[in-house]
Amino acid sequence: MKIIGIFAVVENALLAVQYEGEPVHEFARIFKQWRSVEYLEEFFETHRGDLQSEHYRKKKGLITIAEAVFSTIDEAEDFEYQIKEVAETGKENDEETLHDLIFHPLHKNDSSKLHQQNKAYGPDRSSWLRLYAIRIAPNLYVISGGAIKLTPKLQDREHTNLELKKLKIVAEHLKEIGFDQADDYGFIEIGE
Amino acid sequence: MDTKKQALEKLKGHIKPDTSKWKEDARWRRANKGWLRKSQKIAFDILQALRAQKKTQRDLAREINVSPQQVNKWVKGRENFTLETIDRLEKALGITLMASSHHVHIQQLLSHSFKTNYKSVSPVKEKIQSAEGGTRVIRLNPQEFTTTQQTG
Repeated sequence: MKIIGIFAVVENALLAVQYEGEPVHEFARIFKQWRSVEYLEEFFETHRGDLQSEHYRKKKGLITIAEAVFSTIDEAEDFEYQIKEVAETGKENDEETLHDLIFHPLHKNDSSKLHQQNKAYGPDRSSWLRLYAIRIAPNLYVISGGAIKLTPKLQDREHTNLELKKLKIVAEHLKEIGFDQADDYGFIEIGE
Repeated sequence: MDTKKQALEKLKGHIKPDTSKWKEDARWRRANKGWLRKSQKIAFDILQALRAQKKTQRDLAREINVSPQQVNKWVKGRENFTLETIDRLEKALGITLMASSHHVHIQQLLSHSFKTNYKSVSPVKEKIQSAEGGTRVIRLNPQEFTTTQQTG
């Protein structure tokens, strides 16, 4: 997986990488997936077991495939809008707008810690949309990818485990261009 | 960690301008949200019908004589379908893709056994055999139709 460019999603605030073989950068690619009925129907049918597991039944009751698809489309639209607004608020200065509202540190390779953090947000924080990013300065992030996360640990499923690998690839790439400490991994989710 | 100024300095020459047009697209989607949701629901029903009938998008394309690319475009959820396309899809899949609220309302009325009898038997026109053996057409005024209602 090779990075072919870094793009300014929101100038001076939010960047996203583009991988070889992909037509657009990760921010655009992920949100395109999250509004594609075809992609979402296939995804939730494939992961029906996770969607309808005890974990979600306790929180929301039995979620149908239709409910999952349409709530994802709605949430993704709000998420996209919110990120744009928040990133633009802090783009002119060092104000930690993204960090305060929606960026949650992800301790690399430490799935137990990540699990703890997820739980710490309480049972009502149940959005499954995640954007993964590396913070290179206050309010300046590089998005490496994103996923619908239905299980507690990223390592639990192939598609979320891939996101961990992508974070590492982006960290390496950033180190090559002078960011020696590009290891502030994290994920962005809908703020409250 | 660098300050933002330092970081931006390091990134100079590495950042490419965003050509994905996502902001324009996001604005367009917000402005067209109403009909897009209808399109998404149709796309979802098509996909679920194909899944239930164990058919592929290619099978459907063959049945209604369109390209597989066209079917794939439909199931993304941002197609402004024509009524003709909806009708073809409904026939091919044997499902209802678009039940109007009026239709739903009528269904509810019928289920409450509200009956209406239209007494006039004629449609728009009625043929009358003239005494001369020729044929003439008399248009009926719709107001002449008599209507009675029965409840039960």
